[in-house]
Amino acid sequence: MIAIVNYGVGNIMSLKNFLERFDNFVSVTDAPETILMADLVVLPGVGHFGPAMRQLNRSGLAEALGKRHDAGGPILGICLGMQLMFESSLEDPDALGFGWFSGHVDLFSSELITPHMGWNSVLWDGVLADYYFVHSYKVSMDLDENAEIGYASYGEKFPAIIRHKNICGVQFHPEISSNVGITFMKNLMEAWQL
Amino acid sequence: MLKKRIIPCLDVKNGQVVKGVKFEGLKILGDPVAFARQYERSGADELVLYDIGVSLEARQIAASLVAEIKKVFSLPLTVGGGVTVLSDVDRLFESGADKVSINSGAHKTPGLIQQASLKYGRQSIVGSVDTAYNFNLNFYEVVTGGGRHKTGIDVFKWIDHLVESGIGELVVNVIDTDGMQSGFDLSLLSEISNRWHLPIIASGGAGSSQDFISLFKKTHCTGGLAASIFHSGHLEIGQLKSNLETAGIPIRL
Repeated sequence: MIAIVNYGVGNIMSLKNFLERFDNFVSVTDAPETILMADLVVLPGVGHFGPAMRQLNRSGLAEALGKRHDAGGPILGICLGMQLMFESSLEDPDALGFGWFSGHVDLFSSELITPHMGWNSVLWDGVLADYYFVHSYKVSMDLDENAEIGYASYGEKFPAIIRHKNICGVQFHPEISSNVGITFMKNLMEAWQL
Repeated sequence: MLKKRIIPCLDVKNGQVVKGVKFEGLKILGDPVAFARQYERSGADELVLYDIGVSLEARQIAASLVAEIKKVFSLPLTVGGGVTVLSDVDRLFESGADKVSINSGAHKTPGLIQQASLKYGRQSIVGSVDTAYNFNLNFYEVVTGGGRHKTGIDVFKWIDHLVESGIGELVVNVIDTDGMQSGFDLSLLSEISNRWHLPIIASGGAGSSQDFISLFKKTHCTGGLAASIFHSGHLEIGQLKSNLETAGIPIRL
């Protein structure tokens, strides 16, 4: 079973449709016990950093995600879901992220067209492919990670994929990245033996 | 590098893709699900679906159509047409739309874009504006109803309002060039895309690969939208993209 963490508003039906290609049972859930039980948990990308983190804390979902992380259960974060895996964000300086990866989240240069919206290339698993991005904030990393990182470039280089053991974050949206998104998801699930 | 986007647009009425023919009503072109699959295969970068039906029933048909398309389609899908109140936005997102486009609804319901943007994030809300040059007023005027209703509003002031209300993308449809296949209105699109730093999609006038090359060389627009020239096969998307690449435009192949 794949569980999509439902922590408020946002358009997650598109993601649910996509994930149903990989598992007959996809649950959109706000139940902490489902987060612990699922084969794969997807933390989607909707809303703002601060309100999202507060909602996750208030509902007990953050605690469940933390337990799952510590137990080594696979978690995929998409867009804001990836950003929440870092320490903090310029978007809401008072809110603390999960801190599973070191680094923080900040804005693209004001010279650039934002949101960064459309297809951009990422080098991953030895292949350069285009994925669909929609975001105005991006991760700035400290480079002392053991994680594998795939970069994209928009004004500057930024991490588009980060993976360490059973935790993976992607800044793009695999669910709307056509065949490339489907291949990415297949490979990730294979790597995690799901 | 961020790629320029080629976006086919489906006008849908009663569950069928249609094409407006001047003075002769509508011509039915076929099944939107089949169109969507074909466009994903041919290399389109995303798809826009406009529901041009007017009834409540049309709204419901459009929503179930979105759900049907999203089962077999994995590109971004923007849906618009008749989005007038927040519950229209809700219904389309619940059906699986990735972005919802608001046009005349922003006139009918002040505050609609703010509400939708607050609820779903501005990156999911597309502002769409139709404009035509008004020779009496000497400015590009916002029009609605496909050009039938004049608003008296200067398009630059209206875009300011849309951007402040919280849109993440802007579609500019120039009625003067729409359907002419004689090229985009480059001077207007260039002025708009210089002034606002958000993704701007040009619509109205595309007739050839050269029109898209000029659009991307002479303006900061990030995408080009067209309907009939793609539906009729007059311009094939794979060929267009290969021509764009040859011309040095960053494009997804």
